[in-house]
Amino acid sequence: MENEPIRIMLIEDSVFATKHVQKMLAEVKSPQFEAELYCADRISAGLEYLANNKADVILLDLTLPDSHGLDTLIKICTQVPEVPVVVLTGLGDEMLAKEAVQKGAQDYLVKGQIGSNLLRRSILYSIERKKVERELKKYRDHLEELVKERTAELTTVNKQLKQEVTERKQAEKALENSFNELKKVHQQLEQSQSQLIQAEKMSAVGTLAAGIGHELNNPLMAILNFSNYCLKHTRKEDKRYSFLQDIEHESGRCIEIVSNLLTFSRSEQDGKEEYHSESLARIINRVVKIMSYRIEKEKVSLSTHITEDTPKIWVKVGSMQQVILNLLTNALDAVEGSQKKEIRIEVHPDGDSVCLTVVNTGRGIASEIMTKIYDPFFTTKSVGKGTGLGLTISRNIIKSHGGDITCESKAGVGTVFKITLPINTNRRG
Amino acid sequence: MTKHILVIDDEPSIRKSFLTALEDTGYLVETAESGEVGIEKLERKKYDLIFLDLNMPGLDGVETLRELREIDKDVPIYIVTAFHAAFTDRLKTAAADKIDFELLKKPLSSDQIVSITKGILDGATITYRGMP
Repeated sequence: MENEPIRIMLIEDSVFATKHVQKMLAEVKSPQFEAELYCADRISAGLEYLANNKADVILLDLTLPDSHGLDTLIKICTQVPEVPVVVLTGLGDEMLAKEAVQKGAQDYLVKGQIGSNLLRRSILYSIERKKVERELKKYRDHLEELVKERTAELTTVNKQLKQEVTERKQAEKALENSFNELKKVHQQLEQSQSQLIQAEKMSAVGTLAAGIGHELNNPLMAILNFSNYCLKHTRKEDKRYSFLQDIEHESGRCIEIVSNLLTFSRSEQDGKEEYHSESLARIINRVVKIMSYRIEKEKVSLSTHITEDTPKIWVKVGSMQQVILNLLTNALDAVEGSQKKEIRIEVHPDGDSVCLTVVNTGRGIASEIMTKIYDPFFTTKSVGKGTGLGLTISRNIIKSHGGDITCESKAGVGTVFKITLPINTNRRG
Repeated sequence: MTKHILVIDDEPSIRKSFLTALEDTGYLVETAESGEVGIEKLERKKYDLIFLDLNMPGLDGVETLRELREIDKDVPIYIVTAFHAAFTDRLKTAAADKIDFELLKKPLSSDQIVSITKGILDGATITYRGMP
């Protein structure tokens, strides 16, 4: 830079001022400060020159014939923003000059106070200042670039993080769901396990009971026959006669208990009886006929409601008869001693099943024992009236037919037993 | 002519039950305490009716049945049992082999023993309780 002359553009309409500047420049010319001066007396000429030529600094008079004040500066700065500008103002225009510096000029000189040293200093200073300005702008732009880049990066990372968080939360939720599912399955398994254990226990009890039952049959037959014999050979007036009758009666009871027991345990094992297609209505009518004497004697009001066209079901007729007999007997026992003695038997189709309900207005089943009613040997009947096996056996029979039995009851009001049996044989258990 | 009945059962109380039940019927009742003794008796004499228990030590009811039939194909044999599941299959096999027998369910009362016996030997039509 020091070797090349400084190209100075002077845009000034006053000839006097122009000559003055030339003179000043000549005064300070030195090997360290070589300058070439180009002049224009209007803004248009200046701009034209600058369009085609390079200048290192512009000395600009703000008041020109074709431009005024800051407008002038703006025109220059717009066209050649990289060139430093020193504005030349008249006395009294210092405010305008200051504004010019704020608006893009590097320095100002007051006409009439321009010494040669001052002019040189101002030119050199402006060039340096512009350089610094340029550097600053470069840095600022670069910084802006960096900031923009960095912001973009951060935005992307932020978005990724947010997505990750969402995904993480979803995974957590899924894990929680899996865990709950697992907990549920675990509970079910535990339930199944206790059911299996219970079934095993029941099976063991059943086998034991069957064994005992079989063992008892011989001694019971002997007792029965011997009491038969004694009765045959004892006079009615004999005071032992009634006791012998009791022995005969009690042994008969034992035989019945054992028989029920063996039926119960056998129902778990073999299925000798065969399935037939039969209408529930016919079985019910047979059972009602068997029980008719007791129904009439105890003044119970029994009604049957069988929906027309209820389909026949595949059933072990003897077993199902046993079930209905058991339910009807229980119902009769329940209404004994009640004010209202009503039993209602209903049959209707229900989807792919047939539904049978037995309703009674008897004493009802307390909620505390509701879960026990199917347990073997559980009975609320007085001694001698029930073995506690009726519902157990009935439920087994129903289940082996692929059906189900439910019970609802209200103490003092009555009880409803509901049985569903599949029409389709494939559901047989 | 007096009819002869053979009761084969390992339990003395059961043998006694049959004896007491049929005491006044005019039939002659003999007893055997095992399958083997029963077979020996049938070898030596003809019977008009045999009551046979299934659950016996030594030669059990089904085996005894086969042996008895070897000796006499025609005598009515009534198996008196509580339908022990263990014998069901083998009884089915025997029936399949055309070995004739009838089943009676234990326990039987004296009246039942008498009516069944009279029914078989004297042809009276009586309804039996306890027959399958």
